[in-house]
Amino acid sequence: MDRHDRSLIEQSGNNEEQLSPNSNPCPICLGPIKCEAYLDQCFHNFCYNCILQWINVVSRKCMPRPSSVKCPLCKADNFSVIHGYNRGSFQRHYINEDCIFLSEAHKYRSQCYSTETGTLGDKFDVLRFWKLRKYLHPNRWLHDWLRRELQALTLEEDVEVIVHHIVGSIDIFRNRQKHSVGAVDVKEQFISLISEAARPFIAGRTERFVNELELFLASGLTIDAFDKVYMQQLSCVPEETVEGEASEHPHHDRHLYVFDNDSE
Amino acid sequence: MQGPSETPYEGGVFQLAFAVPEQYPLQPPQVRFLTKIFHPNVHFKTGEICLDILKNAWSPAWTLQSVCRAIIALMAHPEPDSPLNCDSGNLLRSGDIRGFQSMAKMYTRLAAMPKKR
Repeated sequence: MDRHDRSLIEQSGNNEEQLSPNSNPCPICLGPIKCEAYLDQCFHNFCYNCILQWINVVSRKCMPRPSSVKCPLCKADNFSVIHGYNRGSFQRHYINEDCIFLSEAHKYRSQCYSTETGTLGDKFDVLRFWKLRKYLHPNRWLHDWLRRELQALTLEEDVEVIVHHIVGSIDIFRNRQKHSVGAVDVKEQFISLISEAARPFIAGRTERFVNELELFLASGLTIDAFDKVYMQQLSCVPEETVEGEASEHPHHDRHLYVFDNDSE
Repeated sequence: MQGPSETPYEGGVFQLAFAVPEQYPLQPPQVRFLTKIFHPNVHFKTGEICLDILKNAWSPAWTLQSVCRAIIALMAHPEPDSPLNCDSGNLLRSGDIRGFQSMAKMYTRLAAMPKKR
């Protein structure tokens, strides 16, 4: 009886799954809706992550952050996203309160992902990391570092699932290496294993992400120290100071030119 | 894509190139005509299309199919006030509907129809 009951439940579950994508797909990803969310004025529904990503795309285009967003379906102005409802309670996410969790460090890191790494590989001695099998040592800061990187890359606050997934893949890699001495293509194995784990979440930025992860692990530094070395190496001065310097420099230059002309 | 009926593009078959970015559907696809077409909102040489929904009016709820529909609608209802093809736009703006239609029809025959043997 038990088995029969279970198979019935499974069947009905399957039916629902087959029906739901057609009956009410998310207008953005066209898949079945995950974590259903409504806009507060027009009540159109989407996956929570889909509509949040769209709000982030729209908000990034204008400064300061807009207080409303147009519904992708009907263009009605909406001020918040309602989600996570359960009987009487629900959560509300206002359009202009997005990304509060993104710190300056997050912003700096997401900039890093669109610049070249340069010679950081030498600086952190990545070759030595692989040669001396340093990857077998656990890294205390890995979890926090991964969380920050993934938040910066996905613009989502809750990335715990992805962090666990990637930490798990790294653990699997370590365990495999402990038992296989003298494997040749260790680095390639690492890259393919981590890429596979991360790709579903960060798609096109996977390769660079794995690259950064390699750098961080090879550095053996804390997050702050890693950032400092990174900044020094890329001499990524925050934009404001660059502008400040630029406005001062022309004076110096002019004086120098005058001086040069005189001497010639 | 078939040229819509009761337009100068009727009977023509137009090839389009779609480039779908990684961020799609958060970013619009890039679409251009591969087949030459005489239309005020299509660049005569590059095939680039001037259509608001492919730029700032994009919504992630659009699909590749709805983009195709929008392009068919644009073929049937040109917007001469934002021309990428000035000659074509000027003909329409100066009210020379017949001139525009015969030019468009000619290019449809030349470029978008199988050649008669």
